[in-house]
Amino acid sequence: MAYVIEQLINGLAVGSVYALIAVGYSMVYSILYLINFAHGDVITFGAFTALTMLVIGVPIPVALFLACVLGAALGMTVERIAYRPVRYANRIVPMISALGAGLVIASTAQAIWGPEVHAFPQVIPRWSFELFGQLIPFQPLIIIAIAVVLVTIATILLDYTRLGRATKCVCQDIHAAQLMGIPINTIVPLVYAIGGFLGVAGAVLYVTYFNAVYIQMGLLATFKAWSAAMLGGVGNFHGAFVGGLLLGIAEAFSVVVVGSAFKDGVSLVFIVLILLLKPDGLFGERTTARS
Amino acid sequence: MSLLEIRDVTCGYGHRMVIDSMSVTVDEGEGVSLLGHNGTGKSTLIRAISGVIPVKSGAILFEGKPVANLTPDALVKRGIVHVPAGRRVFPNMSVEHNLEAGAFTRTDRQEVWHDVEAMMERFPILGERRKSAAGLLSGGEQQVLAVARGLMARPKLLMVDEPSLGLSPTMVQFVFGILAELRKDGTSVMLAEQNVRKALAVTDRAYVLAQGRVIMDGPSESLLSSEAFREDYLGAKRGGSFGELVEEALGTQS
Repeated sequence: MAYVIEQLINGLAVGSVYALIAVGYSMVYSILYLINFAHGDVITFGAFTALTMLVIGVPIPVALFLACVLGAALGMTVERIAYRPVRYANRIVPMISALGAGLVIASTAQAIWGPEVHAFPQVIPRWSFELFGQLIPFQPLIIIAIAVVLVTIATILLDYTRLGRATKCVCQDIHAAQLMGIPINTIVPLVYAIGGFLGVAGAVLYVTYFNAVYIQMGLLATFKAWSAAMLGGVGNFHGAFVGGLLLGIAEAFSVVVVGSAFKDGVSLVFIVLILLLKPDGLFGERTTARS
Repeated sequence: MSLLEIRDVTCGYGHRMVIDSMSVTVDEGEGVSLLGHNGTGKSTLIRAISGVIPVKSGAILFEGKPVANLTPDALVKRGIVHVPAGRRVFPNMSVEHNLEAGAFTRTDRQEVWHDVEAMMERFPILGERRKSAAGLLSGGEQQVLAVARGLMARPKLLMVDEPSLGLSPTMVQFVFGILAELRKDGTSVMLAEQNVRKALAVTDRAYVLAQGRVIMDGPSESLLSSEAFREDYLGAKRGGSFGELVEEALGTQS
């Protein structure tokens, strides 16, 4: 039982990290039907920047916040350079452009920080406390809390501000939104900024949890976050979050059942199963059937 | 001075020009139809006016000021609102939030909600469904919502693209009833339609487009009585599926 609870907490922690990363994918996809392949590399870059700032002694909260801001800026830059010029081209074109942008960012990161795996400092202490005779680790709980707070803030901004509602319009129909006088060249970069900010936050928590940061984690993050986004229903903000949590828990228990070697395969199995059984995802919004 | 003056405008998609040096005017309070078959450039012209596609050459004056190639949001702020073909309501948003979205460029937030209420009263079919997702409305209800959403910006010129598209005859009747009411209230309207008879009934003047050019224009009544127009667009001689349909309509009316 104790082991199950521990795995559940770990699963939720990793899952909330996936959720933070997935939200960025999901929102971008719903606007432009583009899988933002550069997203994983943007957040890796952000995590490395956080590492460098921590090494040179920037206070932890400042370093993490600045890294997230950099993620937002990088997301917007990628949109401006790689996506906007091909926004209305055939869907394959922005996808290739995305792959290219991802390569550029990953290679730049590799040139700066090198290909090896770096240890990441513990920004959240690894204490634990006892509750009902059960040893509860402190760090995963903080990770879950941070993720919940960030997603709640993002939700409030989307639901209750003028720009947030405009963003929802753009996500549902970019052309109609444009005709409402919504400045899409402000909103679309904003979406990339939100995705980059939350994504880097997720990435920093991820590397803290696993105590390692390396170039290739961008690709791994892409698989997992994409799987989470699909699980929840692509384009659905909350679906992406719940999808992330479910994936995290499934991974944690897959370690128990089939061994840790297969853990990273779980997200891929999910992708296949979703495509086969419920392509809209668990919470896919399909009220558009009638027209 | 005309409210909208389009002077020798050429525009299209990429390198393919669809509109060839076209001139069209809409006066204050006037209703103007753009008529023509599929692919003659009606929607393209409206898209160019609303800033969605670039104007290659020529001028567009709105209230005497040049507005060609402004961004869509700048044009909405000036009072040019485009209700797109195929309705394009925001499917996962409630009816009232769709209306609110239409008023995005306005800064008087209190007044906006007042206007939302006014729309609910004016169009009871929206009032009854105010909380339901717009994607669940019927085609006709969505078209009414699209027009109401356009009105939320308090336009000086409302451009409605193909409002009869995909609607049942009853719903077409209903939607054109609404357009007629708008015209009575003095709203300036530009209407792109394939349903010639319906369009002429609610507008003062019309331009007939073919291959990106204006081939005929004039007051609605005089077009209806023009021999050439009747032959080509009301199907008096040529037939074809479009013509036959109109002929049928004419037959039942005479």
